[in-house]
Amino acid sequence: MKRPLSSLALALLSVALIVPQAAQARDGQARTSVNRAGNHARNANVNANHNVNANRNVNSNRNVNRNVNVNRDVHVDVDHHGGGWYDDDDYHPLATAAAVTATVAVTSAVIGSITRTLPPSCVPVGVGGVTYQQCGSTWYQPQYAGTTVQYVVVNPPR
Amino acid sequence: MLVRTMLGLSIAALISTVPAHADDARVQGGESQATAPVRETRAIEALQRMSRSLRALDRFEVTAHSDVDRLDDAGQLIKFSNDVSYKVEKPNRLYASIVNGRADRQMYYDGQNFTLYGKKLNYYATVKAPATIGELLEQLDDRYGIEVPLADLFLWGSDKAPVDTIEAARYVGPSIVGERVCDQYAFRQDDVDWQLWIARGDQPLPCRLAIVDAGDPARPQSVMTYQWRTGKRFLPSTFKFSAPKNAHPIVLNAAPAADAQ
Repeated sequence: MKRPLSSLALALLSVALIVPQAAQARDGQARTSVNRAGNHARNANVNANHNVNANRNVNSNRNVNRNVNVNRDVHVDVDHHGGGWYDDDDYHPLATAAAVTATVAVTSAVIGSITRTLPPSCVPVGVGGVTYQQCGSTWYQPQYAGTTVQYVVVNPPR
Repeated sequence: MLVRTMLGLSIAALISTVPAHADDARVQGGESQATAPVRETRAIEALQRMSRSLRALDRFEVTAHSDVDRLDDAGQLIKFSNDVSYKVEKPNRLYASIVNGRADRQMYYDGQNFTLYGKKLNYYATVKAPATIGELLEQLDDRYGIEVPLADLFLWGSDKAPVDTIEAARYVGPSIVGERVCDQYAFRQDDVDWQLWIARGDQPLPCRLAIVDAGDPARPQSVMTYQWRTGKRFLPSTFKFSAPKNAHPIVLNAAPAADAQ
């Protein structure tokens, strides 16, 4: 009587351990290659972790709530985006409306934070052969992450 | 009398048990036949024949319409359509474009540089490229986290697509794809269920590919239908990127995952 119970418990435990990992391995986007697993899931996890750290830093400053929301949005976007060829250039059709408006509502941004969209009224400025976007007093460096563009908040390059 | 009865009983028992066992065996055998993966040699050979004709192409243009599923936050699979076009000259020239209404991207490789250009946002990034298309695709995947569209077309027939990983393979039958008669095959490996339609004739190139992600509970699918033009000649400018007016140069990020692993 004892043995079947403990082995059942073991089986349940191993199922509980294995299932969440299997679920995390995929992100709901169909793979487009038989022979390549695709890199969307792999990128997503790493980027998401970075964003979590960024949130902590923000909390010790002011502007707290708004920035936290913005970073979360980035997190959501990055989870869905890994920079595949089939992703969008400038917006995500499956992102919720709340996420999009929150991203646009950024007024001040933390150096190193990443966003998928720029606030309005930015001016492209070339410095050292690379383009920056100056949006008021905030500078963004656009860069390709995979094949999609993201904007990293940077110190003024000049 | 008693002995006879007992003998009769035991014979009856024997008779009744033997067929019962035989039935069990048949049922078990039937079940295992239904679940055991079938791996038809003719399906594997058709794939290998197609792979050889892919690898034998020196210059080609291929366009593909693809529908790719993506799960939305509400748990519904949404289908996204893309048009991909490739112009390829072996061993070291390649142009690709992907257009889907939300993005309009191009990729240039002239043997020396690789450029990724997004028309919508008008940004481009150029990096030094290795000597061959094969090495370029490796580098894009490993260093930059870019899996090129229709990657299998470049992998079949190479050591990156070994047939011994295929667990199940069978011929489904003839099928019309566009205006062509193609032979349909079904394959399974790891968490991937895939189907391939191969053109008949002396140049057996792929007509269509369908992939189901069987490891994902939502089972998202992608389907690609190819159009081939082989033996084409291209101008050198096809593969050379020249920045359009007002296009801005930006950085191509190395994939953070590649560093971490």
